[in-house]
Amino acid sequence: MRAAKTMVVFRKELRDAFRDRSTVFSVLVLPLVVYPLMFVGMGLLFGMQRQGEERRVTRLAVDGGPRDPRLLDRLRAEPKIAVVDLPEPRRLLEQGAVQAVLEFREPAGGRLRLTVHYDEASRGSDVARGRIRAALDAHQHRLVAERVQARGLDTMLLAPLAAEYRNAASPQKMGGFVMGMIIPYMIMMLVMVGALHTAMDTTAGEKERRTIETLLASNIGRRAIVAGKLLTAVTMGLITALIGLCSLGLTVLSGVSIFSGGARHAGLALAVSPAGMLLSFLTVLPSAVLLASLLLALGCYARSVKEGNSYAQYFMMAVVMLAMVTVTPMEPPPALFLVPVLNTALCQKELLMGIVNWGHIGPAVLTTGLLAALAFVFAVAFFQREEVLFRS
Amino acid sequence: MITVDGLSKTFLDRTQRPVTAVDGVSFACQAGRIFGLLGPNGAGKTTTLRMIATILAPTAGTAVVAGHDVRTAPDRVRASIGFLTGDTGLYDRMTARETLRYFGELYGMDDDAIGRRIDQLSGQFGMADFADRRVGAMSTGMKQKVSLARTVLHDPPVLILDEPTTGLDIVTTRTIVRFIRQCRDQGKCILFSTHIMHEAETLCDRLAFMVRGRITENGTVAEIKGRHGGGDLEEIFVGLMGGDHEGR
Repeated sequence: MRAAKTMVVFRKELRDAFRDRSTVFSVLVLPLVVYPLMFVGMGLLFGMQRQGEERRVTRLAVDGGPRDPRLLDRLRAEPKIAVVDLPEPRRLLEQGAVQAVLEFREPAGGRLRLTVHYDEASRGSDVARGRIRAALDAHQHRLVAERVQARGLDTMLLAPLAAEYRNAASPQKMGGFVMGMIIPYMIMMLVMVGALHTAMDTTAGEKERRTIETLLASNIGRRAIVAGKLLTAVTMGLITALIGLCSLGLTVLSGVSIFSGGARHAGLALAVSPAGMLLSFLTVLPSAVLLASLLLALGCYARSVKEGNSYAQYFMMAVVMLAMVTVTPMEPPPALFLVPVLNTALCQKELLMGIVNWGHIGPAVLTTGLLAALAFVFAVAFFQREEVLFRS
Repeated sequence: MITVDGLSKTFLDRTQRPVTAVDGVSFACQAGRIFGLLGPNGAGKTTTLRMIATILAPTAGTAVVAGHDVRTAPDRVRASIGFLTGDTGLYDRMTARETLRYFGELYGMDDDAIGRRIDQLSGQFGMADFADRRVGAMSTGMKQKVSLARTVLHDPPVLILDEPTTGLDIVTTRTIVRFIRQCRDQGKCILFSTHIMHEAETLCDRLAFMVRGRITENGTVAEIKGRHGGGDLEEIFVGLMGGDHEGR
């Protein structure tokens, strides 16, 4: 009977949520339109900037002396380097008029001594450094080869090792590694955003609209009410995450998003098996219940949706900080799989790489599941406290 | 049908000091009768009704509604009552029909019974034209009709109405007064709070005056007037409050 009434509340709240413009905006419009636009926009912007820098010819000013004409000829032969001789080259570098300065210093011990000045805060100057280093390395190899040959020796003497590096990671693992930087973070954020609006609307919103008394005087217990609202908030959170993931997938496949370059480079192959998807859902579910329960408790405490949203901002910051850990390429210590939200994000990252580590999934699901159950009890207790529910 | 026995409620104020909103209130209300709870704002009427409706838990005392104690069987009490307040909100994004169906399901009614009852109440309150309109697009009068229909949807033997006519126009007020009389004639027990003396005088079979959390007078209109030497009910009420403080 209690479960049946929970489902009555759930069906009503779900229908109500899909009729609320602000909820529809955050659940459907944000993940379907805004995030892809943001990622595509950033991808296009960075792509254009990268292409622009690659096309741009580096202006290299020369300073000091005595200058080595062979080296200068070598640099002039580079298609993307224009060697210029201008007064006050360092000042020109500061002003951005040249991208690097090659300073010839007094030779010592038979060695040509050089200093390359560049501006690391400038992308163009950073590109210039790479081009100059490549040209100088090539010139150095050529000089060494000439000296070795002048002594009648084989140039192979300079390369006694022939090492080759091969990536053992499968395309799926590489795809998971690249996308694992963003997808777990996105999942947690979208679950939070989807649950937040519904949780606030069904608690603080119910107070604000003065429907709470009617509901409390109806033939339903408070635990069943909270359970119905929780089910709605969790469902909305998961729907938001699912829509966001589909949208992100399509954006990546479009080839113009900010992630597409990295994905192409890694030979993206994100093929998560049905079992992997089920495991992914199982690891997200406890965190979704935990977040939604805490948001419901916050909503119960708040006198209005506005007040509830302001409390939730701090909550959102905590979730962001925890989920952000997955953006770093660190190897997580086992203890981190006991931290709620973070453990879910870390498990998602592993699953994306095709790794099923029960030593990580088990503790993550158990600890977060336990905390989620406690959070539900806490939300029900809050909903039963008159001084919270009728706070004025 | 309703027996209230020594009901009290103490809250903590902002400085955590106890404030007694309802102090040992006792009264009884029979089936087929309208019991009026009168009092100024802040007298404790709403708190009393909320305790009887199981929205708030009593600090002391108890109430028995349709044979069920609010402390030990709150679920059964809720199943036996229809609760309505003057400022009860409705779900703006739902239609009248959806609202009634939702509460019908909460009361455990089956689909057919809900459908039949909605049709019946729709005719009774003249809601047919707006039954499928969203509540957010309704006038105050329409909303109040939906609220009344929601209150009696499950045909409860007891109605608890907290200032149901406050802030309403004359036409809607008349609809509600007519509805309360109909319910009494059907044998329902009606507990009704108001601060409008004329409304109480014409509608209630028994009255209780409530001042600062206590019942100061209880009886029929004739009994109360008889005890205070006749006259106007409003004058008696002001006298029980400690006189007219206007201009002090």
